Amino acid sequence: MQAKALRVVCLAVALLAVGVPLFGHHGSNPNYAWDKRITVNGVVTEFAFSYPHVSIYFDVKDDKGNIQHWSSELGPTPIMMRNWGVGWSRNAIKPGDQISLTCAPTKIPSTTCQGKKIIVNGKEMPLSDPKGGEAKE
Amino acid sequence: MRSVLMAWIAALACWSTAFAQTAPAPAAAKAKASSAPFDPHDLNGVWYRTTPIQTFSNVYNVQPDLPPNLAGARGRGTVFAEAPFTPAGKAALEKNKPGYGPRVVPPAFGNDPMGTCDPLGIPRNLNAEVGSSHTTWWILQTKDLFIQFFQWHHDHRIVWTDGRSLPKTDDLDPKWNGYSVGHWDGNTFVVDSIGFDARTWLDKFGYPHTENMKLQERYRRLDHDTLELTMTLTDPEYYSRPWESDRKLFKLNGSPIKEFPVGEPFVKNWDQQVYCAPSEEFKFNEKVRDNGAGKPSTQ
Repeated sequence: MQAKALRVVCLAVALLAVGVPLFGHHGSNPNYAWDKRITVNGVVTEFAFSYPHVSIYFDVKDDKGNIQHWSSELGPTPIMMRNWGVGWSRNAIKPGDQISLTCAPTKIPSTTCQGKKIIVNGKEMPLSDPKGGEAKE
Repeated sequence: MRSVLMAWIAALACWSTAFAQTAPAPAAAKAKASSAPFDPHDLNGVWYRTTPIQTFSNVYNVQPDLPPNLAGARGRGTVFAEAPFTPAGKAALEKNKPGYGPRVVPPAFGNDPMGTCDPLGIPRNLNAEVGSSHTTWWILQTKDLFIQFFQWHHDHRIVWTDGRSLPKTDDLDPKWNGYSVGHWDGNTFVVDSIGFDARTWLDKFGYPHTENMKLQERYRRLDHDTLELTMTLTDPEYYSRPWESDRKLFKLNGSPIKEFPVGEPFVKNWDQQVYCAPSEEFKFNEKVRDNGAGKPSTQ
């Protein structure tokens, strides 16, 4: 069992070495600053549990009260479909829900980011590990 | 670059250690898998790729002096053994702007056919190019047909096994998946194909081909659970010699019409119907990909 776990770790290290994308696999990766994080709070306008990636659209109020329309890709849809026992489905997030999204920003200033951790109405919805925490790349 | 080298060294050392510690266990496991009876001429089943290469044929190398523009999407410094291009082939490659690999560009400024939901075609479908639960194909064999269903993009291709020969290329209209016939060479299933649509890429790195490409696939069931695929393309206008793919290995998950082991996501979710729906893809392109790359909206 221990050896099996070790091999899983080895495989992960090997994949890291060759740069095989596991998350955000559908060609959006070049947009993001992987080593940076921002947290954005807003109100959901649409949740799309569709291909190529589950994505979420939400409104964010800036310091002056102006509304910005944000978008974020969460995970590859089939991986999100695995459910992880946390209830992901097309109805998991609804318009009007309050979210706090920690995400990798784009390299240029924009209103898009790639979700790494999402809290919906005060409750974390795991993006990859059922125990929570940041989504794996 | 040093970190990449260290990662490779760590991976290799880690792997060696893992197997060194438990030498008898994997041998026993392999023996168990290998001892299950199987018919080498029966390729039916759902197969998922276990080898890491997601492209037609790329050999990973690590070059410490890699220039930044070749450092890959995440700057990890991987480069790849190059194809035997002719000058025309190299020029065709340069026109293709992929969202992956050493020539990566933001998808908003690329031209991967996938971004407009064009069919991926053959051989790209065979690469099982994604790294998640839909890295699978489903093979169905009948006496006269060999059909592959591809989870990614929910496509299928037909290989005629009724003894017919390939037609002349001039007699065919190019098709996304080409025209394929198959036969058995001992225990190797050989598929020969022509008649490809040149709009498709060989793989996600944007490698090109012409309408005159000939492709040979060779499938061999190594044991009950393992299928091997190697491919060779011949396309003299773009490639100076026949070019071989890497050796791709696939693991059997069982037939999707039987009961599956509980907790195997890629099996449980087999019928994911991963279509590239233009209405969904284009919206995602505009709202996420283009917005994130600074490409003005066309709406």
